Amino acid sequence: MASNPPLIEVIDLSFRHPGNSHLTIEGVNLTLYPGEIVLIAGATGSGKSTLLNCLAGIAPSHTGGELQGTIVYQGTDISSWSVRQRSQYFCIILQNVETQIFTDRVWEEFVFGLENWNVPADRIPLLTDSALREFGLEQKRNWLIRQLSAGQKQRLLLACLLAIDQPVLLLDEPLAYLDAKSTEQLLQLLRTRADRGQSVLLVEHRLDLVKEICDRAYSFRDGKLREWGEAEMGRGEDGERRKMASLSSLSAYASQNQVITSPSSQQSPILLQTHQLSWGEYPPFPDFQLTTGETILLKGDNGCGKTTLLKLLSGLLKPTTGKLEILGRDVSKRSVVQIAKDVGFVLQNPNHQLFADSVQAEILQPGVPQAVADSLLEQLNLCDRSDRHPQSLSQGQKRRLALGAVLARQPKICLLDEIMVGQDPNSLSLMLNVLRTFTLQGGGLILTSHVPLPPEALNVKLLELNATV
Amino acid sequence: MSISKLSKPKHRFLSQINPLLKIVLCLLIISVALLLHNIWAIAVLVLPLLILLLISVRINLKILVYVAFTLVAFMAISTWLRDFHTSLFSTLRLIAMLLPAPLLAGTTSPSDLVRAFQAIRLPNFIVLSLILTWRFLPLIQQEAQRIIEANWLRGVNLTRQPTQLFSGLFLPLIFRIVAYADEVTVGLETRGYDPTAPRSNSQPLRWYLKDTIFAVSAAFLLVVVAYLEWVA
Amino acid sequence: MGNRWQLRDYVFAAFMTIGMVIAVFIVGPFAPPGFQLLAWAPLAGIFLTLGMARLQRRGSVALMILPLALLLGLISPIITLYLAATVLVTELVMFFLGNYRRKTNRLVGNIVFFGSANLGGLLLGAFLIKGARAAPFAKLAQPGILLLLTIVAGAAGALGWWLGELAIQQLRKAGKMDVDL
Repeated sequence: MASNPPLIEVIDLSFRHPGNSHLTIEGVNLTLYPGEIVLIAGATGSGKSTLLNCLAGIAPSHTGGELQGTIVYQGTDISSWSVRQRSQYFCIILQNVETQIFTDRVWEEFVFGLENWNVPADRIPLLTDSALREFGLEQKRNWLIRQLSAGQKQRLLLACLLAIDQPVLLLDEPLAYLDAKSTEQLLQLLRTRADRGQSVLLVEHRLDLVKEICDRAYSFRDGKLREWGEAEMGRGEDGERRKMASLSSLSAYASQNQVITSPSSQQSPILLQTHQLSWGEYPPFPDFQLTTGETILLKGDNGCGKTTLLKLLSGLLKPTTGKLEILGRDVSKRSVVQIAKDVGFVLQNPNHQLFADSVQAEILQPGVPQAVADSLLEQLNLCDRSDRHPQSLSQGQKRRLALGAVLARQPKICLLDEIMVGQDPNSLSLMLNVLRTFTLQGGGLILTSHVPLPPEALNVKLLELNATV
Repeated sequence: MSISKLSKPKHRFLSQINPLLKIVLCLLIISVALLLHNIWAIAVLVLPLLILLLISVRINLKILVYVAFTLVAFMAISTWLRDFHTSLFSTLRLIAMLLPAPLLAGTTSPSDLVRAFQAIRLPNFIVLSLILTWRFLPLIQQEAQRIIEANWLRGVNLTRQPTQLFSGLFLPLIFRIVAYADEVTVGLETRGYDPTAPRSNSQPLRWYLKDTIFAVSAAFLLVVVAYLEWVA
Repeated sequence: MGNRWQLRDYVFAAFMTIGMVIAVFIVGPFAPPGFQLLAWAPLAGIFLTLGMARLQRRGSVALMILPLALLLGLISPIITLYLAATVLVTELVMFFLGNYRRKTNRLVGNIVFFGSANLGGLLLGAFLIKGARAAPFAKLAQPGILLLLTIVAGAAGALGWWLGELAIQQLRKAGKMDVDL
């Protein structure tokens, strides 16, 4: 592999985001050869997405900021190329696949992409057919795209982009929203493509899933890139290592704390109780109870109903059958606003939950005591940003802020959807600390995550939800 | 998990007629409707439209009731102000002006419409705008729905506290829209889109026998209407 | 005049159009016919102002409204024609005033657009009704009432402008308004 000339060479790349005084990435050197899969690992916010954006041409032309250094593709300096120019040679998959899809139907999406490249009209049907076949989408040719799952959409997008057979694939955190089966399909696809001579550059922090297929790996830390040796990759690094360890201990832990079927300790008052809840096509959810100070983790693959259950518990959905009791009252038919007095819900996308024009104001809602607000700001490490506009924060900071705003209203129960997605270790530990304090003060927590949680942070009880067909 | 949901109009023939032909006819019918004064002429114009509507498009019951109610109200007011004959004519003319476009919309897929607009060389930015609106309007509506739910979750019912509408719904929604706009710009480039670059057309509009039949029938209809209006 | 239009401008304009369409959905069921434009103007004005502030060049209104006109043409092509005419009037007026970079110009743009849209709509309605010989409705076509309704529409547009400027302030504070290139 090293005998071939590198496809991509990154030479001394540095990038500074607009308005920042420090460099986001510094002095990055990287090579990519044909036929290999290279992983760029690192915590959220460490700079790996920025590197990908620089490679793809998104930074600085779409993000602003200052770029220094060179990017060379097959011997040519492409630093001044637009995203579109690079797209001819790089298949670029971004985090939000919805923003790369533009038509209604599966086959139309192929045609759209090929027509954009001015591919001769008589070749388009052939290319479309062969791509459909290769990616197993033949049966779904006439499907409406909105009927596809997240994994299928990503697959469709890959198929569309690869129809012009680019030599390089750049993927930004492709596994974030995929279930186990889709993940396996994607990784297999990448391996096949690499074996055919294409290069794959994968930015991902789910190390446990990708280390099998990667030929080489780099890791980002504080804006600097380091190549990993074999041993390091197997072990992971720092926080990654902890995650690896947590995986094995979690399964041991899980065997101790089985599905809650029997009533828990009778002494603690029961905050929430479900009876035979069901909704839509999901099978009835297991009955469970939440007592003060308790944390329940809803575990299961994407599509098994974790978010649906949370929505039922918050009142956003009304159960088809069954009963929900909160603080001893039957709330199955109560409105969301009424239930919200006792139940807080931190949504998966914090952008839906930010309403104020400063961090301070977001937490200090009407009726919230100043002391509570100050304490939360402190615990969530947002004090130095208290004047900033919530929308100017990073994703991790926004999540913490949303959590702060929910906890400031002092609910008895707090629901969190997909607590682990897109979290950097600092942000996560701050949030977990705050949540632990919340439970120690008598609150009850219900979390969902399809990614393993570090178990030493919270004393969780597991509730397994079975996958539907 | 997902079942194939091909859209199933009741009868597909109108969907397969050349979209450009449909657009031209639509404009023609509306223009003609503005010129007519004879009630029989209008009736002959409206009747086929109604028939086509009933056999080609699934009509949402709520919309049907709303429209029927509005029309009846219109007729009632007109009759009260003038006489039945005039009001019937006005109502028919209103139908003739309002029916062709939704009929066109209901029987033409968005991609067909886009192709028709490209064929008549509408500026690229308008076509792009249509594509983006069609594709992202539902997503932005979903975002709005989630924001409304997030308001419920914090104890705010926007319909009861309209003063919160701006900061509770519109501002967060605007932030989402601006974020989407920036991301979609990048997304378009990754798909190779360039409004100024040449693009190929693999689905050029074609003219089939059924288009000829349809065009001839429509022409015949218009001749009859013209006869009723200006000769009889 | 500045650079030529770029892809990001077209896309931003398209999303402002989406915002205005959503405003139609929000307002639609609640407003009585004839007053729909008055109820829609403040909401649509927010997006029109935002678009003006971000796109800044002459022709921004056309970029946002012409696609909307075409879309509404799927309800009736008459709407397309009259919106296109309104765009023409607005851009013509703004051509002499300058571009949309200044706040006051944005205000004028909004007032002119919604005012002339309402006027155009009323005149069109009057023409159609006259043609149908429902003369009593033609009472509305009196200059006094037309003027009043036009002023009200302009005011509604001004409200939309004011809300839009609030939104611009927030976007600027969050660093999302002007991309530093």
